[in-house]
Formats: sequence, C-alpha cells, structure tokens
Amino acid sequence: MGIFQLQHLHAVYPGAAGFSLSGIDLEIGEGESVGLLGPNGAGKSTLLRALAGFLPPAQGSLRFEGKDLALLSARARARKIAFLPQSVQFAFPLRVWDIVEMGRHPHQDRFRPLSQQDHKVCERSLELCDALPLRDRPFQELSGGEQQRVLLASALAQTPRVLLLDEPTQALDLAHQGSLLILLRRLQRSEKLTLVCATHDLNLAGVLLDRVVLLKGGKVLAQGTPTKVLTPGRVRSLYGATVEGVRGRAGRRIFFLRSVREGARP
Amino acid sequence: MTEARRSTVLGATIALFLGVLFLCPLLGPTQLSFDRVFFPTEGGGSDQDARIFFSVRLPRHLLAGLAGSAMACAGMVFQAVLRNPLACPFTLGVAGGSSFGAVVAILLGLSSATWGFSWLTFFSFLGALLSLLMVYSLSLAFRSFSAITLLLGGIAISYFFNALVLLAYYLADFTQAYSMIHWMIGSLDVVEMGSVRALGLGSFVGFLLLWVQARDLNVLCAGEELAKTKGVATGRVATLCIGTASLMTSAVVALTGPIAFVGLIVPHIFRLLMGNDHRFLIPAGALGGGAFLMACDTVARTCFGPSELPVGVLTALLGVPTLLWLLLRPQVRPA
Repeated sequence: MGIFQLQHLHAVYPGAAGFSLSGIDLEIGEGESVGLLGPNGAGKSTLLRALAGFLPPAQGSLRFEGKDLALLSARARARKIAFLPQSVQFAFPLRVWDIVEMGRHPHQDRFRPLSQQDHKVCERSLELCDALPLRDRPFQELSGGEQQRVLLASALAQTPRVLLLDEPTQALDLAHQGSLLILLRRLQRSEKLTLVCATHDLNLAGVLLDRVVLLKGGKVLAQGTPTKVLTPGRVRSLYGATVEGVRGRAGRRIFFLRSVREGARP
Repeated sequence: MTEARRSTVLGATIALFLGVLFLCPLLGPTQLSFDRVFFPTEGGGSDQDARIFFSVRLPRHLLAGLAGSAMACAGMVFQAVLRNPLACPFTLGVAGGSSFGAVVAILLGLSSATWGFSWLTFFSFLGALLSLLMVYSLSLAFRSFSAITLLLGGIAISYFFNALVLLAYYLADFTQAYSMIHWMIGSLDVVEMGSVRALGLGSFVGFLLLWVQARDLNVLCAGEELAKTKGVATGRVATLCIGTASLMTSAVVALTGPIAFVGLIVPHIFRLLMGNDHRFLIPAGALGGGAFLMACDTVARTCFGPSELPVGVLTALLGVPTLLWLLLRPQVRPA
C-alpha cells in the first residue's frame, strides 16, 4: 500500500478562481522517489503543498499512511513529512544551529531545552548533509548551496518519512546540483525516505527519480519511469519546446534544448 | 550568540531591573533615604519618607515599569509574527485609535475622573479596540491574515484615526487642545494604585501567554510556510499572539498615552545583545523594557526641575542613540 493515496483530488488556492488541481489520481509508494514535472502553472507546486498538508482537498481524498491527511495536527504532520522550500527569508539573523534545531520543533514541548537525543539527531542531520562545520556560522552569510544543505539538514532533523522538495536545484551551480543529487539518493536509501520533488529539470528527473508524473492543467498527463515517460515527443507536447535526447548511462536520456515553438506558453 | 553571553545579558538585566525598581523612586525633589523608607524606626517623624515613597512615587514608578515591560514584549511579538523589524506595538493602529478615543473624551468634557473612574482611560481603551476591530475585519474581508495585509491595514487605519484626531483638535478650544497634546505625548503622572494593580495583573497574564508561544515564535520568524512544515499551527499562534499583544498595548496606552519608541527600540537592543531566541528574549525584554521606562521617567521627573519633561520625549531622545550605537559598534555582529 502506498504512503500517499490520492483519489480524484481537487484543490483550490484560497481566493483563486477555479481548481489548481482537478482530479488527481496518484499513489506514491514508501521509499520511492517521485518527480512532479510540467510547465509553469501545471499544478506541481500546488500538488506538493497539498501533500505537505497546507491545502486541504476541496474534493476527493488525500490519504497519508491510510489516514486522512487533513485530520492530522500540524505537529503530527511535521513529525512525518518534511518540506524543503525553494528559498527562505528569515526576518532576523540566525545561526545555522538555530535553524537545524527548528527541525526538532514538532518533537519538543514548549520550554524544555534540547535533550541529548535531540542534540544527536541535529548533529547527525548536519553531518549527513556535510554541513557540520557550518554549525556556528550565521545563516545569512552562507552561499546558496550551503544554505540549501542547512535547510535540508533542518528537514532531516524532523526524522521524517517523507521529504517534499520544491525545485531543489534551481539556485545551485552544476557541481552543487550534482552533489545535492548524490546526497538525496544516499538519503533515500540510508534513511528509507520517500522523496517527492517538483522540478523543471528534466535531467535531474532522469538521474534522481524512480518515477515521474507529468502534470498539465492540474491533471496527470502521464506517469512512469523517466526512461519511458520522458521522450522528446512528450516533452515537446508538454512544454512546446523541441529537445534532443541523448542516451546517457543506464539508458537514461539527457535533454538539450533545440528550439522553442513560436507562440509557446510564456 | 553563545549561551554564556545570553546568560550574562539576562543576569545583568535582572540586576538592572531590581536596582532601578528600588533605587530610582528615592530620587526626586525631596531626597528620600533608603534606610528610612525600608527600615522606619519606631516612633519618630521619619515615616514621612515612607509615605512619599509608597503613596506618591511608587504607583507612578510601577506604572512606568509595567508600561515599559508590556510595550517591549508586545513589540517583540509583533516583529516576530509580522516578520518585520520595523513593526512595533502601534503598527496595527492602536495609537491612532486610542488617541481618537481620548480626544473624543476631552472634547465631550469628560477628561476629569468621576469617583475614581477615568472616562479618558475608558474612551481611549475603546478607541484602541475599535482600531483593532477595524484591522481585523479588513483582514477578514481580504480572507488572509498575511503579514502584509495586517501591516497595510494597520497603517491605513492609523492614518484614518490621525485625521479624525486632527479634526477634533481643530474643533477644540484652547484648553482642550492643550490637554489633547499633553495626552498624546504620553505621560505617567496622576495614577492611583487601583489601575496600576489592574494593569499589572493583565500584563502578567499577557506576558505568560506570549512567553508560552516563544518557541513557536522562533520558528514563525522563518516565514509562514517553513513554520507550517515544522509543525507550527501558524494561524492559531499568530491570532493568539497578535490578540494578546494588542490588548496589552491598548491597556497601557489607555493609561499612559502613546509613549513612543519603547516598543520598537527595546526589542532591537535585546535582539542585538542576546540573539533571537524568544524564550530568553521575551523575559529579558520585559525586564529591560520596564527598567528602561522607569529610568527614563526618573530622569524626566528629576533632571529638569522644577518642571518635568514628558517621558515620551525622553524615551526617543535616549533610545535612538543607544540603538544606533549598538548597530554601528563594529565588533558585535548581529548573530
């Protein structure tokens, strides 16, 4: 049985007209890595936020571990589901350690200081993300890649079963993209994490993910393994861009942009 | 910010608070002696010192302490919930609303107390509640409690009430106009112990309610979305904190008038000194804000004798240089 079960899920952003998701049927298995792909406005981020429990279903059902996700409290949810946002703006200066400590928030009561075990979890999370040397640095002074690793460590400190990622490679250079991908694959195995990742990066999808789900207009267009689903023809119909696929290792395709169709959606 | 540094600052603040609390009321036009106030000899004519201390200076001094504490706590909470370093207790239009209530009371000739009940206080409290109600319903109308809706709503409501205050000022005669200005500068004189006790009880409950949310506030500083993913029920925490802080502010302002800058500057002074963990920041700010306003009031009432300086003027004149000095001191990096 899947860890997430979505049946005919509809969701609306508050104040928005019309559904952002209209009728999603999807099952995500435990320990699986799934990518959500599609053009801007296809509903990737919306679906990710629905899985995070921010957007209750307007119609249909969203079950997590067999239970209705909307019925879980924010704390109970945060103990199981972590979310790596695209970027974070802190209102006040904070140290790296303060941010990782936030990951223990759903496990703590109001006042007691961090327990020995909480400390260990935080340190281990930093270590997993190769960020232990950064622990006393001010977060604002770190590079984009380092900030990403710290936020990832903070997410891991929640000891979640599911990690949701919103465009994780967007702000990173090539080398950092690569090391993040290796890190995520390692975590998927060692921590038995389920990864769900909204991304525009077709190549990331090909390398990292077990399965991709193509979204368009709030509906599932196709899904399956990257090699099966991500074909030049489908990419063209999805994005309106002509791409060339080169076979890489293990049959994975790597895409190059050749041309963009006139009048393609902006 | 290291734990040791945090403890040092917290300890120093407690010492400062206690020192200011007990020693400052001894200063004034009549010098009081510590021994004669706290250890009156039996018989003898020396208990006059004790009487001045306990019935004249102490109520005012305690009001200053409570007002400073409540404003500093409220300021910290507004900054955290609205994620805006410029937020202060008056951001949601409380000052404008309560000023409007006060000038209406003055215009209606209700500025003197009848049987110990101050219509001025009552009206300004009502005014503050009115402004909060308006900001709240604006947010409801936009169906969002986002920081930006609250900030913009608060600013709009402030301007609205300020215009009404100016109108009232224009309609008032000379004496009334003088009372209005006097009220709006903010002052701590003429209080009886009853209202100080009520404020003390109210702000203590408020302080506890806010302190209990400290850990949630820490996470909320990281943005609403991240806070949600860390298990903070953001809507509930924000509503509870803003509601409590607003009521505390309204109660203080109704008694003292809108005293400027305490609620903005004291939080920042402590953020710079001890970092941004609200579990320590809120109690430190409560003590520090109290000490700051008590000290300002002591200076205002003693150093410019025989007349007094309005304390609201002094808080800004002393607070702004302190904050700038802390900000510009090169060796302390905000962290």
